[in-house]
Amino acid sequence: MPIVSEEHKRQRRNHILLSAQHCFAKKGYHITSMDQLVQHSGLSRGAIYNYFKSKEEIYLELMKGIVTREIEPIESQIKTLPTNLEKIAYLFDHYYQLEPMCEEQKEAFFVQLDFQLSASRNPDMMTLLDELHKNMKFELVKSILQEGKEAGELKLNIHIDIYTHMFWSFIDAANMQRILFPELPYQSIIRDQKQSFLTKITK
Amino acid sequence: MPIVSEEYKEEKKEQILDSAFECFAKKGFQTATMDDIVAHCGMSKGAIYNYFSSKEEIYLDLLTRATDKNFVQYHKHFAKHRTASSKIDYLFNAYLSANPIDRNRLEYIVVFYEFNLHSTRDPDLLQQLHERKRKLVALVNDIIQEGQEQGEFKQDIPSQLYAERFWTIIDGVNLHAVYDEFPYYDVLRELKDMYLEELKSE
Repeated sequence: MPIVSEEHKRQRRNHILLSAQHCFAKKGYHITSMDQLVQHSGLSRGAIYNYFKSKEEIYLELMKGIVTREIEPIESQIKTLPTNLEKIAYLFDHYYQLEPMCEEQKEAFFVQLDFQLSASRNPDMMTLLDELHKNMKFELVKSILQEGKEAGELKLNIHIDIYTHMFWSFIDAANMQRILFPELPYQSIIRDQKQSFLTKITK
Repeated sequence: MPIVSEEYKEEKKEQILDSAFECFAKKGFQTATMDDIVAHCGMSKGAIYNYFSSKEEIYLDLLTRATDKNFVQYHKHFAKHRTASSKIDYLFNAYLSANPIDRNRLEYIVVFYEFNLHSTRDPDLLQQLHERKRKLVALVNDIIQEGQEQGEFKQDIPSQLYAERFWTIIDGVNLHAVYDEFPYYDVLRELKDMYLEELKSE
């Protein structure tokens, strides 16, 4: 067996996940078979099983990757901003700027939503979803609000958990509607919500 | 073929709709098949296809009935409310009074959004969802414009955008209700205050 570099393995793995993302978004997770995943990836069955032992494992790993890819660019941008209010504004701006969404982003949101809905029938998926949501998305916004409060930028009576949930529930819904009805003015809706949100929390 | 009354037909239809909803809720809209519905319903395949030609058609009928029912309810209440803000208040309260952890409601929500995702693959279905959405947005838009005419709401607010935003708020809390620890009431109440405060004239 030839020696395969770590970099090559990583690329392979990503290729399989991206290919699966496309299949799940086009047909739905439950209807897509492992054979279809194999075929679409252009790799051999054995090659895929080298990386993942089942369709379910691919789905779970894909979901982790999607959330990470969504959050990481936001985190790195946020680090460069001096105040917490600017960071909150940026959170909205980030989603505002996703217009139009490219196919890959649409697929990623689609798979994420589909996963969220399927998880309501599957406790294992729900556990993973809860963890991802809590540790990555929820934590990101919560920590900014927390610091903003401590720094005296935000009103003291703002309930941080509630405002964090308000942010994500709104953004998730706006992104879903954008996938369904790209012609509707979701950019303006996000911009207006940003304004309301900032007005409400700013001291 | 025997002559069947409209009443009988309606009864059969409702039986199919209930049965189909249970299948969608249990397996997911995408996974459930017409055969599942036939098996669950206890009618013959032919009998079901007499009424509906696909699971999509069944779901759309379910959705239309639910939406129409809500509209009747809304308009009944609107007739009693004099101010535009009390109408908006009523709409938010319709969602605030729902029990977010009620199993049946959660199933309804999950199947609804599953159907939405499914529709992205079929322009005709998407068109029907779009029509429904247009009606919902128009409902809120009319109230906002009424409030602007009465001087209750700010004049410079783009009513159409605000109406769209109302339904984005509702979609958001419904979508997140699938998370175990989502504080549905608190989030929606806060969003409602934020929304109304901004609409009202000083």
